[in-house]
Amino acid sequence: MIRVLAPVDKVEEVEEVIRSGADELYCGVLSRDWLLKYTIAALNRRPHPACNLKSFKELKECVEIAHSYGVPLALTVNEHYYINEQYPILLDYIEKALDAGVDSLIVSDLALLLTLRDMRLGVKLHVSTGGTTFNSETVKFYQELGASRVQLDRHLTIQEIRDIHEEISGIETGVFILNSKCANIDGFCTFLHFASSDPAYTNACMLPYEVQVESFEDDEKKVVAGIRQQVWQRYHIDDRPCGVCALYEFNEIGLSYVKIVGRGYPLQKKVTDVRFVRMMLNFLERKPTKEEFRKTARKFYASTYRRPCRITMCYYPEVMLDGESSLHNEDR
Amino acid sequence: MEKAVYITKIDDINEVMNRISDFSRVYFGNEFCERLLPKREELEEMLVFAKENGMRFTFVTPYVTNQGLRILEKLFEYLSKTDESCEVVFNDFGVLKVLLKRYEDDFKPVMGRLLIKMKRGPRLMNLIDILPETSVRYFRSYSLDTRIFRDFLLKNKIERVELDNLLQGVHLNLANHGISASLYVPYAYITTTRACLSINCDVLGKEDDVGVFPCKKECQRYVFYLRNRIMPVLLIRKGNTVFFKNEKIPENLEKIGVDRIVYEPKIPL
Repeated sequence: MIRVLAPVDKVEEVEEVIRSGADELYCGVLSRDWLLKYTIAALNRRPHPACNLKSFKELKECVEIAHSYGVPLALTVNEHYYINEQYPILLDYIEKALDAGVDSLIVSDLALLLTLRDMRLGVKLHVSTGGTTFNSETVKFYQELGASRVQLDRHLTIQEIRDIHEEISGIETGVFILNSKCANIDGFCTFLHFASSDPAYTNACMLPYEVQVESFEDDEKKVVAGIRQQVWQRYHIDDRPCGVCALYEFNEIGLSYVKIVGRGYPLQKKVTDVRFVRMMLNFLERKPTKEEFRKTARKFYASTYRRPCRITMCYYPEVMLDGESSLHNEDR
Repeated sequence: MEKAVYITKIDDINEVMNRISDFSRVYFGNEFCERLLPKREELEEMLVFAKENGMRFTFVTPYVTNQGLRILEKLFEYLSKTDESCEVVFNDFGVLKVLLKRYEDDFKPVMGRLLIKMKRGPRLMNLIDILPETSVRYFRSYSLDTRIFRDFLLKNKIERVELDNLLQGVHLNLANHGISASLYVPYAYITTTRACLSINCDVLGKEDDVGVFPCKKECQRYVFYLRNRIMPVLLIRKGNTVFFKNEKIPENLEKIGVDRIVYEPKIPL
């Protein structure tokens, strides 16, 4: 059965998130040395203190609690890239994490992956979504470099995920299932995002833009096209995006795990998310039809998050359309 | 300094015909969308064009799904029988794997600009003067400054990388390490998506339906210019990708290792 990978940011969250149904955990640890030296050039994509444990002592406590339940814990070292001068602090950070007993490191940067492989640290290496994996050959590429797990990109259809899985073996793959439905491809997005309520630093994809349309089409079409460009002003990419309907197919495909995004979220949100996914995985064990599963998922999504399913917030929006085969260009 | 011209569609040749002699190499293909990969006939036409004009050839490829990879493999198969010394720009490590496994002796692999993940978000320029020097160094550099990355490239016969012309500048020193670089001018990419905002963009009632959906190549009929007062430059969205324009050529090209300018006569999509 698919495993549920969930975030924690505090020691006291670990037990509750596990009891809610998480099979695996991931987290970050704040490095004050790093923050002071590199400021907004972050260490793990989410530099805000609320998204990180405060110390390696806390990390050790988290690991011990998680392990007492048989649950592994991964540490994010997933910045898209690090430069050479950062390595002394970075490797010291990783050494402390290993001393704390983490089971795996989540990495994006090829140079760091190569470094860790050569160091033979005895820790599992997981490639993050920053690794931009869209096909089975990329999975094999990372597998040959020592990765034991690869996070597939958000921007794949269910059929594309199935195609990848049919061509690989001996490596774990997973997909996103809840929260942070990035408008752009994470590993190819070079916008700067900061944890700030100041619009000067908020997600650039969601800023209110004045749009000028250049086209030879008629004015009416240009107006509609211009409105479409402002879609991410109308929707917040974190307005409860969900891909739970697709668990039915992911179970058929044999994916190893689904990831709930959520470092920095309140504990109650984390618990709600894990319970929702766990409940639907439990329902799958009763062998419902696809239609029964979808119907139940949508019903519980609506009651859990108090909003209906929306195509914009659907991770795998083909499930909201008629016939998944219609999603693929047939012009070749 | 070698000068190359980057063409994403056959018709765009007309844009540069009056100064084609300025260029000794042509780039052809697409970096951002597998649906825009050229057909074999178009590739053939561009190879003939390059040969007739005495230009060397670089085939540019995007990140791809398994379906896209199958299309690419057919193009590689054709290309391997046609042009013996051609370069292939890869923007996907899976594509690199295929190149190394099946075409090691046919093509020179070149690491594309999407795999150089330096920050391009223009708001960095609002902060650059107040950031500590350590942060500024980070934003101007890349993990290519680690020996392990460079060794990986050279071991796999990757001797060239593709760079965008960043607003904050690029402070890499590749020249001393056996790696050359190309600089793309004037369009630098910032971000790309498969939930393309051009798909069905002009269909009333579909304004909020975004996802990986079939398209009618609306990207070839629309360009969107995005303005916001805190964004220091104009953003240009064409199809699934956002670009900015930077025509100012930096002065440290030699130190970076840039020995080729890739001129983009049109937005490369």
